[in-house]
Amino acid sequence: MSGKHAGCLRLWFSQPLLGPRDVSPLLMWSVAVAAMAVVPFFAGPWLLSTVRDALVMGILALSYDLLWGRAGVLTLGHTTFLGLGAYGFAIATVQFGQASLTGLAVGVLCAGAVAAAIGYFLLFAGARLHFFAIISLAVLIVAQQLAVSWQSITGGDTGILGIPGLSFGVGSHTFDMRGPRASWYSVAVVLLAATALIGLVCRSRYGKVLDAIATNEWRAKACGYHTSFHLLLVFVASAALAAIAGALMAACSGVVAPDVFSPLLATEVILWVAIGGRGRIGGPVIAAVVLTLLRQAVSSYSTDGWPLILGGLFLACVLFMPNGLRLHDLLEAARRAGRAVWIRPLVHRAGHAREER
Amino acid sequence: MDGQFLQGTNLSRAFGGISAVAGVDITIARRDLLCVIGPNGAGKSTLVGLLSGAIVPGSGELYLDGERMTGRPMHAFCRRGVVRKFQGTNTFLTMTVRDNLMVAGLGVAAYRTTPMPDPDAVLEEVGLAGQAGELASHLPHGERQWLEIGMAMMCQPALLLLDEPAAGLSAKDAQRLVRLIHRLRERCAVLAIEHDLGFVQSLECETWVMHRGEVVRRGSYAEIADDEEIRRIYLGRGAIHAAH
Repeated sequence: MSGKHAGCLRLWFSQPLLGPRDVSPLLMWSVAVAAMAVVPFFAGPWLLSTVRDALVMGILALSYDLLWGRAGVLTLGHTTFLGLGAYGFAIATVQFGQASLTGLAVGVLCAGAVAAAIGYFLLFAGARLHFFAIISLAVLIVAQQLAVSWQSITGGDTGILGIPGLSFGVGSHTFDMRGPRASWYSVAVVLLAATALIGLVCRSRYGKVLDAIATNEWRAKACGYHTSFHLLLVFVASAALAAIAGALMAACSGVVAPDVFSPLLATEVILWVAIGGRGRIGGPVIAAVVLTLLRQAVSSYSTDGWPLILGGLFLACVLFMPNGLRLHDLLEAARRAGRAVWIRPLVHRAGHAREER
Repeated sequence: MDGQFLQGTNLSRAFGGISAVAGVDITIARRDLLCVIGPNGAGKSTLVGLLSGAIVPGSGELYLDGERMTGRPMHAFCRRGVVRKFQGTNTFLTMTVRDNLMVAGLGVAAYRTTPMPDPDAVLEEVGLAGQAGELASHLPHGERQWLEIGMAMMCQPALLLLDEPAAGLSAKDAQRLVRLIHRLRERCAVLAIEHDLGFVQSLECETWVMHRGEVVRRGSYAEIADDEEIRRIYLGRGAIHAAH
């Protein structure tokens, strides 16, 4: 039976041959690798840490893209898992004095376990769409309350301060990831690796299966798929990745406070994926990074402005770009606009009409 | 009971006090071909729902290959070989035709001893080879029917349940479907629900008539067609009076 399952896994995850469709993702990924490697040599420490924090949000966006974009599970409380990862890391390292890798594992396991428990009871009971979304929001609020009121462990409203950065030993050598450059690289490596992994999974047949479940779950059931199980799997994987983002966030900033469980950030995550394009992996990451940097720029002028802009963006996105912002569409629109400006339309059309006759 | 694949006894299901299926006994052997006809609301689709696990029976028992399947989920039925084509059409609209077939075949691949059929060969068989790269949502209704039949074939059925497969097909295509069903029958049992009596006639198989949730007649199409009672059910009492 195990040999059979191995064969099945190979069938599901085997990669199709490289084709013309792989060129642009591969190119984009290579450019991203090069950019991430080179940026620290040019950017100052402040810029570097700002962009690094935005990249962490990119990981969060990636995890949500897997869940909502691929598998079609809408949640309003995705930051639950970001917060669990961050608190798990902080509590393990500060309160219990564990090594940072243990802290990371604790955060990821916490988030994974909570996701598995919630997901099992909701998904297997058939809760979908808005039902699932509302309950996930409730879970987020419960987590937030817990973080505020369980003072002895979570530090209450103040949160936990003085969280150590990432450092781990391989053999006798200790890798210290605390400096601005080192932490940049650790975040970049996680982001690029997660992007590549999710890209490969989505490229395989399993990505098609998730697409199918997202489009027409009932039909997928009739094809023999235990759809609830697959959705649970994706939910747990997504929660684990969000928790990694949370742990990185805690390690990079050194503090964690109850506002990581914020419904506003959970809404932003949805917006990143909606603008970047559902299920398009790279788009949501870029949208997350750009919008996070934009938020920081806006909030230096006014603290109230951001939710307003966010709401406006959301409306605009739903009304005008239901499929997200596409580079291809933008280029097309720009070309059309360019043509309209550069060529005198009336004369041109008249000329054409004469030729056609 | 050797050779019986599906066995259902006293299958019943009511929706809000209305008995959609009331006490149907059914056995299907490995290579049976069976056609169920009946007026609208007779409970035909509910019967297919019960047999495919999509609808849990209110009472009665269902066995597949001797294993009790009453109340099991739909995917468990599919894994054991009960594959269904839905009424109307039901495909993965946002995906290409070939991907539809691939996904359909992949779900049960681990539960079959034979390898997954080649999607391109199935496309050839249902006549969609030219549309392999099209999105399912771009296909007209008739071709979506063929796509769904292809998807069912990808699942390597032991029992194929076809809910109105000829709806929306031209007369020529319906005959092509009849030939395909006869070919499929060499591999599996087929149960078809149809309104198109010409189609049922050309299938030349055992025919059941359902009325108000019960199977009222079982026999060959010729016997059914000659039955006064069946005419009354189909045409209504008034038509009989007019004939007298």
